[in-house]
Amino acid sequence: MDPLALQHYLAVGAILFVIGLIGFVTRRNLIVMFLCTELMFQGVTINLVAFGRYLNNDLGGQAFTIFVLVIAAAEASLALGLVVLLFRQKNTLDADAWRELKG
Amino acid sequence: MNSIASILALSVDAQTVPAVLFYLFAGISAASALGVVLSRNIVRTAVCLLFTLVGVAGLYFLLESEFLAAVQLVVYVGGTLILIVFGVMLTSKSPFSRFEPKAGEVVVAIAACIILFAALVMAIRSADFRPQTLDTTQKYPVVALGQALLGDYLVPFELASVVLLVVMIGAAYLAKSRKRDDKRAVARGAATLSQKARQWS
Amino acid sequence: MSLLSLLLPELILIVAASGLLLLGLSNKVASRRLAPVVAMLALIVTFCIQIYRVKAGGGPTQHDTFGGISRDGSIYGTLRIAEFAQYIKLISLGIGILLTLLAWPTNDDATGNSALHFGHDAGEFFALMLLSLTGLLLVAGANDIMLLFLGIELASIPTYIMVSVSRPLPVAQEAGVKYFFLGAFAAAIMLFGFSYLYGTTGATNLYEIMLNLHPKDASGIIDWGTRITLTPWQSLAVLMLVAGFAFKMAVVPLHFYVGDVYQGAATPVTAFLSFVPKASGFVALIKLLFALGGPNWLLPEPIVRANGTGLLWVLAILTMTVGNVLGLLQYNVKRVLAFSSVAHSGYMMAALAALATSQFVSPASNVKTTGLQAVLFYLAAYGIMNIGAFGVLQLLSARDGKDSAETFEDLAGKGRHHVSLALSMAVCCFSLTGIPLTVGFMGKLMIIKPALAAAIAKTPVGMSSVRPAMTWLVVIIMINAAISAAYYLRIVATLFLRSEEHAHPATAPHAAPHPAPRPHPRGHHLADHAHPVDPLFTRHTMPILLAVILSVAGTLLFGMIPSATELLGNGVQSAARIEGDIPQALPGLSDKAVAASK
Repeated sequence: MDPLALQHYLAVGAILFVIGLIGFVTRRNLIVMFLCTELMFQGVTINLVAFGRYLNNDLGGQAFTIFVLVIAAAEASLALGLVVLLFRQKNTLDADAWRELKG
Repeated sequence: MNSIASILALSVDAQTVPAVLFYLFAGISAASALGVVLSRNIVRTAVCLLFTLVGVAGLYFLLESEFLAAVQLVVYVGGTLILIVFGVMLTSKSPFSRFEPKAGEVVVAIAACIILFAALVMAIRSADFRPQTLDTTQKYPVVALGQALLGDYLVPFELASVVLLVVMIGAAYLAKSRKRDDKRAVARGAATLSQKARQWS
Repeated sequence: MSLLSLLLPELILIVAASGLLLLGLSNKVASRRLAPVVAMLALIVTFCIQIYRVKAGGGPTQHDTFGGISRDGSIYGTLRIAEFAQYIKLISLGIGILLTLLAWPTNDDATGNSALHFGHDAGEFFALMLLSLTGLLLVAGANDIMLLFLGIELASIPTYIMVSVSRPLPVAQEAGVKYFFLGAFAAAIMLFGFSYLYGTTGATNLYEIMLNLHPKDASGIIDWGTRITLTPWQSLAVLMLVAGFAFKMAVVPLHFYVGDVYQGAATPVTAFLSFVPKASGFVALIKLLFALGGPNWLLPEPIVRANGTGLLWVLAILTMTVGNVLGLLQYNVKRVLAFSSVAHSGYMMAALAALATSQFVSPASNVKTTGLQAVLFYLAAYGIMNIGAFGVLQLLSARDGKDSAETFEDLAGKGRHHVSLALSMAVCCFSLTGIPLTVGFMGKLMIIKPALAAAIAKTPVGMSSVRPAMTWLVVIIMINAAISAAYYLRIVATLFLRSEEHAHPATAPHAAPHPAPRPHPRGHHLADHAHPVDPLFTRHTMPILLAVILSVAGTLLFGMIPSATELLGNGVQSAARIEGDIPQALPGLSDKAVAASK
């Protein structure tokens, strides 16, 4: 067996994605939740690059990865803006502290 | 002596080196990803993410996507992560503050995620995707990537810059609204002060 | 068409948005006040261009790629502007005009009013609004999953900011943060789906994906007549993509944010949220389904099963029912409208579920075309009638006179003082319920038509019947229309029948925690004149009134006058011919696509 097949990379991608998913759902600190979405994005980009490489060197995967990086960076700056804005009001980053909106 | 030499010779086998590197990078990124989720210290969490990102950059190198690996290191590790650390510094009065989730939530979340992970593993094991072997004879040059970005993918490429414009406007707008709120808070404070002054007089 | 002229509407909007950004930074109040006018002009110009294009583009040949950047000069461009895209662009820009009117700055003092928080920076706000609409236009034209993803994100990212700055209240910021974090989460799930779709089909181009998914014979001619089976990987990709789109569409199970976010945002932003991200989600879903099913809409297994049930069917029923039941339980009118928006997504999903069964019934029943037409018509209808409801809500003031109305107590008895406004609200609510003579009724009719046609159509030999599933779907749509009537009528009844004294602040359950009325030097515009002058006819509220008038007029016009309905219907009909330009044999099939499909 080829020591490095596509599955190896996909497995890493899936692991990172699922760890990020678990973290997003369980952790209650907004910054940690945001870092978990970054982990999920990393899982996606590994998939994309590996697929691109193994699909006859298709450039779509790499190009898509660059766009994902752009979106991730954009969301990071936005997340910080929003989080800092909220923190100045509540002095906490506990997602459960914001419970003013209730049905 | 002979056997050691053969082991050494084996270890520099053209196939094993990438494999060893792969497990190294994959291990680093997966282990520190776990660290991101499990660590209760927010600074440590950010550092764990750093190692995940570096590990992923290593995987990009193994996939012969050197440009992406460099971008990952420069943009993500050097830019985004620094931004996040700034956020941590701006918001956490005590970096060791703990935020415990409820036990029920954890159980439900972990169960759901295990199911999802099992589905992913099964899907990967079924391996019904086309590319099985790597064609190493073909080049995978950066030049082609640049041409693709400004050729085939010109519209998404320009659109990405519009997204960045949005975020620029948004960040400035958020900062402005914060300043405005502060001003109003100051005005409110002054109003209450003058009220109190009137009461006393 | 060259790339520039193809992207003309988007470019105009982007240039206008950049100009607005500069206007917002200006030191002169007068030039900052120009911002909504500039945004409106840009939208009107693009709307006119779009009308011209829709009128000019006759047959299905007026479409797609452009010289220069497509891969082999063939159909592989990242953009593909067929009639479907032109129609979506047209209705987005039209409704964008109404949304701009609704968001016209009325709240100079930047109080926590649910009208737009104007302050001094309307320029940025309208820039974000135009850019979000640009995202929707690009989603409509996207023929590549990268462009699709970036378009969806461009449509969503501005809304996160718009929500959190729309009111200087903690609730708005909380809503913005919630929306942003869940949006990023949904985007990650969507991306994972996209990555597997890319990996299993070997292409990022939606058209190539469609070609690679379908079998072809030795001479390279695609067999569009066979229903494909998805591999487990592809199924996973489709499920995750649908989950990601479901967040944008506010479809169960990713609907839960809707109540909080819609309540926390200022009312014009809420109206914006209920159209633009939702439309982007639906357009993306239709594009995905088209790629999976091919021009004959032979959708594969997890999406629709041979007995007519399947993913779309389940989602449609759950979304309708959950949305309407939750809508019944709310006391805040904005939350009611939020969950009604979930329910309306459910109706549109029902039309897609009926469309998916077209392969199992005889072609004579015409389910295929009517299903897609229903979704496209309903999208426009929902956009038109919903704006009126939000506009009225924005114009009526709350009990304490400081805010716009939000709860049922705020609305109590208001209909007696403002008869015309309350009547407008009644028209919109009737239309949202689906009472005849309104556009909502026509929409519901079109939604039910394909499901009913599939339920009574003959089943071709050798296929199991979809009759039970489709009959249930029709029945559940009916039941849901009845449930929704309860809460829409409750809004109207509160306006006209309840007395104002009944709702005393002290006794009313006041759960939306407004901060205590702030001492404010100048007070609020609407509140200032609340009693001496009729507050509805000040200079500031005219744009909002205009939006309400246009919305009500549209609701009645498209519902009552057959020729108007026909006009919209014709547009929908040509838009639904999404498959018109697909050649059966592909001249420009790239080597890679051929190799990948082996």
